[in-house]
Amino acid sequence: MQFPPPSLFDDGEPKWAAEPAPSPATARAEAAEKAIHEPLINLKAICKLARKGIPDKLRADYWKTMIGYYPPTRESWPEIRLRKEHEYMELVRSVCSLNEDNTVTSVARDVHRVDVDIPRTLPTMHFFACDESVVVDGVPTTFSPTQESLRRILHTLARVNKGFGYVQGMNELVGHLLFAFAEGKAGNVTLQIEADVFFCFQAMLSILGDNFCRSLDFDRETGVMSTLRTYDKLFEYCDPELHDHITNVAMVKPEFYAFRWITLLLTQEFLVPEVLRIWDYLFSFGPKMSSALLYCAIAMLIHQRDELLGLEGMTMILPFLQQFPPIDIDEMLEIAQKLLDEYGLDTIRQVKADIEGTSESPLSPKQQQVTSPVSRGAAITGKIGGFMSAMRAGAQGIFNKGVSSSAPASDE
Amino acid sequence: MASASPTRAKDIPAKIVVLGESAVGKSSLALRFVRRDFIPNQEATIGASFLSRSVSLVDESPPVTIKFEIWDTAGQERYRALAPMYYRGAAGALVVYDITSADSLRKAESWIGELRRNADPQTVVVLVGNKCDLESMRQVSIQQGQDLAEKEELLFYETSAKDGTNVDALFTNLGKTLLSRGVIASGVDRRSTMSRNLQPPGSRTPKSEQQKRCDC
Repeated sequence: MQFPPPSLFDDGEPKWAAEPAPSPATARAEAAEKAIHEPLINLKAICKLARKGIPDKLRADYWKTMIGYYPPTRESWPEIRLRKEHEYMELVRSVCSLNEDNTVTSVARDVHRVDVDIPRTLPTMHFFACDESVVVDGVPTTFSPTQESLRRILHTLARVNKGFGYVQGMNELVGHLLFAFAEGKAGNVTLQIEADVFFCFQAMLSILGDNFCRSLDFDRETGVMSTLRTYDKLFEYCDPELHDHITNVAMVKPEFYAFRWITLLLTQEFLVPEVLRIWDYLFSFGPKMSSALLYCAIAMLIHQRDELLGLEGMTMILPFLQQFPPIDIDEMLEIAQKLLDEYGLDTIRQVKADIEGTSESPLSPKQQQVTSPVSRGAAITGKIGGFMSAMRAGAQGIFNKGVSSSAPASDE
Repeated sequence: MASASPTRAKDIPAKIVVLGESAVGKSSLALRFVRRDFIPNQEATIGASFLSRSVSLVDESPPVTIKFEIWDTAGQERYRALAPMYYRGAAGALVVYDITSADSLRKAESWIGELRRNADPQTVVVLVGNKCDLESMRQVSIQQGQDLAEKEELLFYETSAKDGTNVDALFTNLGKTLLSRGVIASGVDRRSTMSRNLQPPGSRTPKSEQQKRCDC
């Protein structure tokens, strides 16, 4: 992803012209730069900026701050960075057996589980590419320097988080963090960056960790199946018609497609720069990122609403969802934001309470029908449908709050 | 996209689940069969992927077309608890190991045991030794695979998802076996395929597995 984009003003611009007015993207990049360099960073302000996308070179600082790994007092960062690097290396040495060059030696069986997945992590990116790959007993034994970094992080994580161990999928999340923090350049990877990735991922795990915990799979209140039930209810609440078409008529349950979306934070659905853009948005919600993720997943479906309603049955809908078509990520995130503005994080709490049976006034679709003659889904998708048409027509003005289109969703 | 083509009325759907240790080539096998393609360093499967391909068996009388609906599952232990969702109600199960990893054969044995205990007894199980193109690195002999298959009364194939060896043959033969054993049936008697409704009480099997047969 190129950021900022090439200037719209070419060299032919008359020399006497005053400083050209910066494009919105350039202005945004400048604001983003300024906000993260304040001595006391305004967390609310940077989160708001992040939702529109963070320039590559600022991404690491933004993510680290938004996730709570770095404090808002910028002058404390250099000291933290040194201390954390030291702490990380101590940790690596205490749990991994290392060669002289700090690479992890392969002996134990759980080492294999990690190593098997190393060449399978972002395999199409040069960032991780390994020139020659040697496999012994089904396990790779040669790695590129970035892959060695990935190994150190994952092996250490596996041993430090005894409750989970190494779970497939962690490699993808860590791989994306490493790529983002090194700005996609293998030469940028240092032990300091590794340490940052390690501790940021630990912070992510504390937010998303239940999804990786096998023993909680079928737990009523936590774990991945519970998250999927919440997602399903929320989807039904946001867009009953589309939910009915996918989940009830075609019998495409969330386990079949959203399981991967949610456990991997959409890493397998989109290209790396797009994933980073989505993570800019998600991380801006800090500890609430898993709730924002649910709205993103629903926004993906609503973005493709017309296409999905045109497909019939599991054998058509499921392959579509599992190989999600390339979409405009900014549009999708706008829809997610609209949903969030409309329903907020409270709706998720309410949905969870309903599922757990602790709610005093259940939020049933039936009740919605009573309170609102137009179903909520039609209302929101009406707005969004209008929104999408407007985006294409270049007339965003109609989206001012309070203007709601009652026309059926049209996405031409 | 082959997998998205609507089912023709005469196609007989057959739900197939692919199980086995991580990185033995389950997804590659499914992709070779469905898309005739091979991608080295395939990303790990999280949850399960769904693929389908119809195959005509012209030497059956009358000729039939089977629509293989393949659930390619995640191999890692972490995801094992989710597997029953996919193998319950399956007409066929491929239990895959990697011929260059003796360990993966042990994992295959444990999958066979799990299927015996929990799957529909009618489910036809195929033991598949994948990566047979890597002869120089072989750790599991053909005989070992055959012995296990004989002991457990399974179909057996060695395949290479990389060069395509035996992949089509495996599915064709599986299809024929499903027909000859009456696990799937052509013509009006679709009820024989509905034995998949036999599920342990309280099972978490989505209704889809019974109903999707009717709506496609």
